[in-house]
Amino acid sequence: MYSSYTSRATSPSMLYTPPLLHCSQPLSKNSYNILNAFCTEENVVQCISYINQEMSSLGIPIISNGSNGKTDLNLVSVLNTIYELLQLWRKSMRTMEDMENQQLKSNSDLDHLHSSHSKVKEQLELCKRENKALQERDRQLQLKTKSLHNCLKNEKEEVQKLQNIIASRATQYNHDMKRKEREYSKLKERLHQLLMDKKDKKLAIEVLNYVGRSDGKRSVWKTGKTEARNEGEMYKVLLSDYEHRQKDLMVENAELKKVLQQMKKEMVSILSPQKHSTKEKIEDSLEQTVSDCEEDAGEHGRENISLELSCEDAREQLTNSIRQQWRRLKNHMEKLDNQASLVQMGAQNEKDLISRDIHEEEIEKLKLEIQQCKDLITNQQQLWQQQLSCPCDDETGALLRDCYLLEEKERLKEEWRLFDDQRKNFERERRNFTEAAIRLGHERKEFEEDRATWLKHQFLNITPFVDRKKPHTAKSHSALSTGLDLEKQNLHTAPAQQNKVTRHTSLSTPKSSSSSSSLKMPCTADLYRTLCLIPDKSSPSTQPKRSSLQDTNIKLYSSQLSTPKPRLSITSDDSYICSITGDENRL
Amino acid sequence: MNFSEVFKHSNQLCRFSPDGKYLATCVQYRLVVRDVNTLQILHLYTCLDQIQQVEWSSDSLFILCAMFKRGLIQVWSLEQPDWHCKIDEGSAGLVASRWSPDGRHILNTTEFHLRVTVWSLCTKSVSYIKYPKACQQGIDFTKDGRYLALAERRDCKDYISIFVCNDWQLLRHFESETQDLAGIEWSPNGCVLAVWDTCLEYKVLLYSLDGRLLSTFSAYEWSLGVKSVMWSPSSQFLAIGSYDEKVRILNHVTWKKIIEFEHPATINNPKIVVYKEVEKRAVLGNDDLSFHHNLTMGSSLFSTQSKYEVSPAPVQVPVIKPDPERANPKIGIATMAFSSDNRYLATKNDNMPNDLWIWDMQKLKLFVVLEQAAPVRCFQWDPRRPRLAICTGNSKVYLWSPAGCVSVQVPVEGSFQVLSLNWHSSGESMVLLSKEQLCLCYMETPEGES
Repeated sequence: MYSSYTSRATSPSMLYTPPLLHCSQPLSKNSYNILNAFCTEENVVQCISYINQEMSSLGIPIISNGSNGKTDLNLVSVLNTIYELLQLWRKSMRTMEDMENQQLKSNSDLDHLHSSHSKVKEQLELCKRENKALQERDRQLQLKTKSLHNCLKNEKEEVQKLQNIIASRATQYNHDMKRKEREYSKLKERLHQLLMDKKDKKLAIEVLNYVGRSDGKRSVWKTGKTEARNEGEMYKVLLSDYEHRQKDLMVENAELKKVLQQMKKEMVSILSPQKHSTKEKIEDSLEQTVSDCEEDAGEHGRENISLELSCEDAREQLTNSIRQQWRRLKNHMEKLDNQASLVQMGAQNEKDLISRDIHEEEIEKLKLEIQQCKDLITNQQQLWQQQLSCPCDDETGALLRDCYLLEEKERLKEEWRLFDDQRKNFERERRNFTEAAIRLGHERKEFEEDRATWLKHQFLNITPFVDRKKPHTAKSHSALSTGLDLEKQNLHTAPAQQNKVTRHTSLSTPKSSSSSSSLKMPCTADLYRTLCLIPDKSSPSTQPKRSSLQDTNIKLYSSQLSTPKPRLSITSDDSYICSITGDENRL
Repeated sequence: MNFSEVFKHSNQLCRFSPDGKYLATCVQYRLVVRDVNTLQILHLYTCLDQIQQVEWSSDSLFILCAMFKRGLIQVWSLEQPDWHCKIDEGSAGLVASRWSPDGRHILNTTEFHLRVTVWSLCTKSVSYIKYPKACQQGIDFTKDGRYLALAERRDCKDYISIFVCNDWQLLRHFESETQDLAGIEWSPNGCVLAVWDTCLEYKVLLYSLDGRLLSTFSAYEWSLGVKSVMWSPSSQFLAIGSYDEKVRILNHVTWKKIIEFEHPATINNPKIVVYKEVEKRAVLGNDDLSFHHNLTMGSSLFSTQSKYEVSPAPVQVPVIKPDPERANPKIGIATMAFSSDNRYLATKNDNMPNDLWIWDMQKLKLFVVLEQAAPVRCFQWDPRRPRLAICTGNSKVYLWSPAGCVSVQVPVEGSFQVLSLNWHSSGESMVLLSKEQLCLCYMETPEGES
């Protein structure tokens, strides 16, 4: 806008335009008061034309269009113009305010920027200073290292020098030493010479009488022969020592070889079952393993030779075969290792999977259950509500009760039946017992009779006139004496008697087992443990024959120390016989 | 254990005869020979001067008494008390004297190691061996007494001569590959000679009887080397103790190192039993026992009692720092001894003077450590059993066997500080030597063993 005014420099009253433009409305009011106002009576026309001009330049319709100097101002247009001017002025005022605000803002911004700029500048200065300091220090350090390097070099030189000195001193010392030693030896020589020359009177031995040699021999002249003999003896000593050592080594070697062979054998035995399994599994390796087996067979033969001859080739073969076996074993072990690790991995994986599946299943199940429970609850609630809302009639209630009673009745019947069965069982057992008691009574009676007869015989024996009964009594005596005799007797005696005996045993076994087991149980267990006779899995099978085995252990005890082999030959018939004898002993 | 009464002696000179029947002791210039069983004086010989060395001949028939100051040797016979023999080395002087294994020759080393004179008691003959080397152990006889090895020094080189003792003929003479030979020792079977170099260089050479070099062993360089060398009685092992506080064991087949025994300052392995001697002042009149003790021991009223305690696993061994300024620093393994059955090796590290290390030679492992209250003066294995006797210069004797260890107070009036001890060849008794006194200590032999 300002520029537009400046371009209008041609106007006659240009001098007055700036106040007009810059003045606000009160100023324009004032302008009336002021003498040299813009418009006077005289220059109205000019003013109008001027204003018109100005207006047109501003794009506002002109106040009057009287081109002839007539002053007929259209009031409306003037007012419009004024209004427009006012509008314009306001607008410009607003924009100015805005501008001022903006300026203020930018000023503050500028201030802020200035301050921050200064701050940053300070920092920069600081950094620069620090940098300088560091550089300085670096330089100093470098100088130091340089000086130290120099020092080191000097020291090294000095060390070198000193080492040289030491070396020279050492050589000198050695030289001196040698010289001194030579002098010393010369002196010694001379001293010796002097001593020898002087014919030292004092140098003497006074002996009452010479004693014989400790070995009783006379000393011999020194001749070439003795020298040769000495040599020979020396070599003999050496030889014997070497022989001794060789023997020791041989023994050691033999032992080592034994160990080696044993190891090899064991290796073969370990490897062979594996081989079979691989044969079954992998057909490719069949040929190889077969050849291996053949090799093994060959090697066995060769080993024996090597043990005896210990020649180079054989040894090599032995070591080679061992090496081969070892390699195979190693491979096998590695394979096993791999398998084990694989199995482990697989197991782990499976475990993981299973657990996850189980989890999911479980969750599903639980969800289902919850659902069912919920359904049930709702049902119950419904029922409750129904019941509450409409109380049931008596008929249905009775029916329901009846139902319950029926159920109970049935249960009672079941129990009754069970009870009946039990009673029957009991009765049967009682009958058995009474029978057994009767039988026992009979047997006792028989026994009493036997005893009576025996006593009678005894009594008769005492009397002088019963000679012909002797064999019978002898038999009975033997029956009571030893188990082993009884064994034979059992074979000889009549079957009826044997039956009797067996019946006895059948009745008394529980008793005997309880009494004898209490006495012998620990020792049998111990025995078996010590003899390593009980394989773990066979223990149940031995259980029923416990009483019989107990008796065998007596036999075993007697034979255990002398011959360990019989313990392997415990057979069932053996023990059975023994059991009989044991019981008989008790009776 | 029983103890005999106390006898006088001088210069720690007290020797059992090789056959175990006699005990020779020296008191100033007198030589007293006692019966070992009754301790009664059998013979009393009077020498010309104070005796400085005494040695039995191998057949226990003669005793040699050396008086180095006078350069004199007197020999006495047990069979003929009036028989006498005097050997005068004259102006050549005398520094060492020993019997030859046959018991009929005496080898004298003259001063400055000018020569070794071999005197015979059978004939008038005298032989000289020149150029013997002055070193730690320059002369050694084989166990069977057949050969003598002698270290020599000629023209600044070490030589070894092997003589046949029977007629003193030179069997072998060879140069040894050493800078400055320090010692030689025959293996017990008499077939291998171990030769070691001066401590400035770690070098052990093994020569066969016929002079062949069998092997050379060197563990390290540029440091103080071998301090002691010991053969096992079976000749199977050669133990080499060195200044680096280690013992190296060589085998007899390859002559290579089998194992290295270290002597660490801390023992961490809980399997190793550490017996620690704990001293206690006797409590006076506190209870009957101590009173009884005081009565019986009389003199030892104020002496300390001690017993062994087993220390728990991490044990700190007291270490002495050696003086670096002095020659022959007190560090390293200077003394080793194999038990008679080859089963154990006892070692002592000089900078751990209170400790005795016992190694199991079957397992090649450290077995037991004995930590004494005072520095170990002397230790010796029983010649019959694996039993070790130790003395530490106090009035006690310490015995160790695989079953355990025990300390025994010597019940003697007055102070009796055991400075050294010597087993009888039967292993049933030993002689304990204090500065001027000696007493015999009898072991209780378990039934069925004797």
